[in-house]
Amino acid sequence: MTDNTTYTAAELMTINSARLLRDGDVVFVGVGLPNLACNLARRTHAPSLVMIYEAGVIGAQPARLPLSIGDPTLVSGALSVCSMYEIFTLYLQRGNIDVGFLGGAQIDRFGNINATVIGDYQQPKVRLPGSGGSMEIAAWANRCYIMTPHQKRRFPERVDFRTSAGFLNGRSEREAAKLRGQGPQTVVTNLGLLEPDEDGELTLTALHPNVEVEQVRENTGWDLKVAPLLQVTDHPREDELEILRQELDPDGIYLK
Amino acid sequence: MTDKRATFDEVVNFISTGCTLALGGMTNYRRPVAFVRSLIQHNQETGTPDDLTLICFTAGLESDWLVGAGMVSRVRTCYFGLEIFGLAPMFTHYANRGKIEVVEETEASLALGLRATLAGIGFMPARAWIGTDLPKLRPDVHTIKDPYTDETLMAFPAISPDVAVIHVIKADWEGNAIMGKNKGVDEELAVASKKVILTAEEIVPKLDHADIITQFIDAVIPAPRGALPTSCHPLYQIDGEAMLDYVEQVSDPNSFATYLPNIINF
Repeated sequence: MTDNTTYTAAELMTINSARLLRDGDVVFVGVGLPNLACNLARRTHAPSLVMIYEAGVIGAQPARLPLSIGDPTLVSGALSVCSMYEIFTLYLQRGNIDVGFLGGAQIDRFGNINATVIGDYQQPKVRLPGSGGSMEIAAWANRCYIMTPHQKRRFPERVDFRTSAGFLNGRSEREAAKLRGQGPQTVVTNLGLLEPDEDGELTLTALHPNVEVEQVRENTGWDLKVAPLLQVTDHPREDELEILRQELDPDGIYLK
Repeated sequence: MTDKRATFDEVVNFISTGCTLALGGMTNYRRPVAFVRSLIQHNQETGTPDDLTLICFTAGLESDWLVGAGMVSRVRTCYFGLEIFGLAPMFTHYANRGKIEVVEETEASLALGLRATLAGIGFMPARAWIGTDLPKLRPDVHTIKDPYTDETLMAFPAISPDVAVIHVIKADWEGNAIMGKNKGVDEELAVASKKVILTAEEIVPKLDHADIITQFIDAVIPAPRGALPTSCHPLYQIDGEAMLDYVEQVSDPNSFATYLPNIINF
């Protein structure tokens, strides 16, 4: 029997992200936790979920940090392989991706993401790796989910640099910009779930078990609104934890 | 038949000081690492090439080495980092101090810019970057109106590197080559670049099927296990130990200088 009252923050976020996926979704999958969330969803409620990998992310097996993800062309079965141009035009821009997962160093009140630089662009505190495909996923995937630890520095009122569009300065602004995807739908953190309200402002809509509202507000960089009908997420189930621990990440690379 | 087999010394002058150099592969996968080792050694011995503009779809370990060796003035990429192994230490060091120019890109802007060159036109339009801070940093990227719908689109300019170096699984004497399934933008790079050097795990007299064809290739250099410590599917996996050694040992110019013999004397 797996004890389902003890789990890591990464397990909690992965399980709650997996539950957001629907059977038949075509998902643009990154490495790490999104990859685990998609595989968990496929093994539970969404067996027909289709995973599209951003090309070129390969498994490592170093002694100090054993990785098991393997070559994406192997783990995905590589039904088909296409160029990056095709991924971004035929799939993302055209609207053939249901779900994109995003992370980022900063996520602001309207779900905009910074993956470029902390501080002033010309005189940065920290230069970050950059957009990668984040801009494209944020603009074009039909639904975006963001996974990130809940820390104040990660949730400023405004991002230092807007690499990827959320709701800009409000839902109407995103609509006016004609970004075809619906924007961020849920931010999954280790404390709960944030979802955009009618104005596109991220609002606390659910707490994870044993988390208090104040804890979330203290770790958010703006005056976080709380939804009138605040939910509590279901405990991770035994089967969800077992699949993650025994099948998907037995070495605990991402989940420990 | 033109025999395009060559040695590093025969092609190194393709890469002149100030040129735009594109490196194939992606993230920690199928990077032309052996070639970069030789290029850094050449720079240490002769002082050239330097002042390079580096174009990578995503820039990784090999690019960080070139930056650490002081050979790069400008990087044009959508991502510069080592994924699970962390930030690219020398890029981060210089970028934090404003000592290296970054031409901001995203995956679509690079893919479309190369595609424009492939099509022989000056730009490719897309619905990218709208609503972000990226256009402010790239005044050279203009918006256009779709003449049929009036929609505002970004017009991404054609990209044509001076030289591309691409690591492949198998090549033949003429320069036809197989790169395997994870292609990144290497097929586009091979056609869009003015000169193309292939480094190959294996060179055979004649291939009967190829991903990249001879017309676009200038030279083929043997480089067995030449992507290590990055991976080369299906031949070998990433050497994670070597990646970790680098990020653990290197954080600034002094530690890079100490590490440099590990890069050159491989």
